[in-house]
Amino acid sequence: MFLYHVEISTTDEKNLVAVVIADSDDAAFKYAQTLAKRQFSPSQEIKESTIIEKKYLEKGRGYVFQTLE
Amino acid sequence: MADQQQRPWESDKSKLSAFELTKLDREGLSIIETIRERASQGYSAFSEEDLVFFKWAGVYEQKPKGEGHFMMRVRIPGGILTSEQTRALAAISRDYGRNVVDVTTRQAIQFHWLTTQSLPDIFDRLEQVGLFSYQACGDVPRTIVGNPLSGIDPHELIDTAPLVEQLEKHFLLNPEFDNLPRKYKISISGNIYNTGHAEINDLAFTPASKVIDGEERIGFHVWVGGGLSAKPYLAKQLGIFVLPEDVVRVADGVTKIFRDNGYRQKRHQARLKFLMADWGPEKFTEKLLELIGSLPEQGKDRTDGWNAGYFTGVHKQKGDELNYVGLLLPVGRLTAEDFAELADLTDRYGSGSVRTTNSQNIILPNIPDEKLESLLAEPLLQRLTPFPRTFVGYAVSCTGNEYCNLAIVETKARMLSIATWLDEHVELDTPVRLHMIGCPNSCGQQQIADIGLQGSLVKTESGTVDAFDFFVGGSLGPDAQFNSRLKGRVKADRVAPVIAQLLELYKKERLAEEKFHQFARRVGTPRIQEYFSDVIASVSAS
Ligand code: SF4
Repeated sequence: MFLYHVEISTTDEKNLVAVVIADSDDAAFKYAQTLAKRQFSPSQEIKESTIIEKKYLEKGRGYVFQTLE
Repeated sequence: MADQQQRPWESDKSKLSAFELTKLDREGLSIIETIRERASQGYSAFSEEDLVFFKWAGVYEQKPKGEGHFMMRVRIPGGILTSEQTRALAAISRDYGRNVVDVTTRQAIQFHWLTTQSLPDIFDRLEQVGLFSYQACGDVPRTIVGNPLSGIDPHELIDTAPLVEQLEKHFLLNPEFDNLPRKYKISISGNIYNTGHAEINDLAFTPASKVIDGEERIGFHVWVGGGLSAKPYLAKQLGIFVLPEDVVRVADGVTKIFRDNGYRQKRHQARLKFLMADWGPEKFTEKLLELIGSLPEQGKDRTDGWNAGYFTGVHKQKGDELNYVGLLLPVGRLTAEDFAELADLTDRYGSGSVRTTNSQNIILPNIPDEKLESLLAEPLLQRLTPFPRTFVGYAVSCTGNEYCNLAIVETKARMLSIATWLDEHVELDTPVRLHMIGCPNSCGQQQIADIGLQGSLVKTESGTVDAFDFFVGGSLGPDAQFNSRLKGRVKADRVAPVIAQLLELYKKERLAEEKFHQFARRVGTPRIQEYFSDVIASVSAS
């Protein structure tokens, strides 16, 4: 099982980052897109999703992102 | 632990990660015996925790995890091998590793496809020729990187081979250092072109001189706290001058400081670079001198440039009598048969020595003038050529998704095909260093490349494709700086033409003698970004 870092862009030009647990790249895309649509763009389509990184799912693993000032 | 005293980091267990707590109760190197005892029972004889500690024996599970195949890294101190050792390595690859031999960016050799059953025999065969996979991975001092030309190098101020040997002896299987907070990389080189890639090691020694008691002495300056991976740092120089006889004492002290003061709470912040970032070089120097006693202050830095670890071609050795021949291994890979043949060639034409470089290539040293022509005519040298074309000759790649569990994309074959395409389509007289990595961990040292390429996987309505982020302008040496990322991702099949376009800009606007990384820094990332954005818009549309 891996912890995936996925970037998503939508047709309304939103750029999102999803972090999902999945056991394959295909599943990671699916979960990330579902989460993004549910949370941010229910009426918009996903234009592109990109897997940037995956890490083993272990205690203490994670990603750090800088917030906008 | 043999040492019954409490270790400094044990006093506050709240500052230890879960894995650090496990490391308190388990001697990492004991895995070697465990493997020897249980290997014949197969993969299932090992617990998940055992498999994590396999690294201390130099063994990693390869992709796909859980199927019982392993990668093994073998330490090649200073990159110096005898022909006997080379043959032994080739035979291991042939018998157990599906004929694959990889040379790494730290001069080590890697095998793939090994099973647990094969490990004891491989350990034995390595030991018989004085080689070890032990401590090639794990939270320990890794193989010592050295100048692959030591002893024969017209550009070295001091032969560092004996020092590599002393360091190797001091650190290998030394229980004092079998539990560091994280991996720990040492390099030492007397070459004035930074062949040891000093700035990206945890501890590095580079050539320096100082007048002591009226006499000019050759020694070293010391760099601490460099490292790549997702958060790269360049090492910082300490304020000391180190004579050759003090190298081991200094290395011992720096390593103890890391062991006892390094961070153990979060594994991704445990490398020595994070301690150095907090302490700074002055405090680090002060702590080191407190621990090991006084040393002369810094002398004169004698590093004069950076050759990126490349030695391809035929070159005169120190003394002008013999030659070394630097061969290109495309993206660092060769077959067991070819490796064994290199051993035969060095016996026949040279002095029975093969050397590995941190640009993932091979050197055959000590070739007399009269044997050069016949060596160069050997069929193997038509494939592993000393005279590679511009791009293939300077292309580096990490392992990628063929064997690596964390890779997002394939890298080795792709890097080779991109470099080959560029050689066929771009005329360029200056080498441009291309490095490709399959994820942000940077095993292929993307950050120091002229053009770095980092893979990702993109899904659109029309399907899933591999894509790459571009980074430009990295180098080590006196103008060391990591490269800068360009915005915009390029689909894998467009990477070569986009590089070609970037090189058109370079060819048009470069100054005389200007290398790509110098050009990228002079014109600046915004200028290159503007051009790059136009290029990717046009290649995506085409
Ligand atoms: S850089 Fe990433 S993909 Fe490449 S070998 Fe390292 S961990 Fe694997």
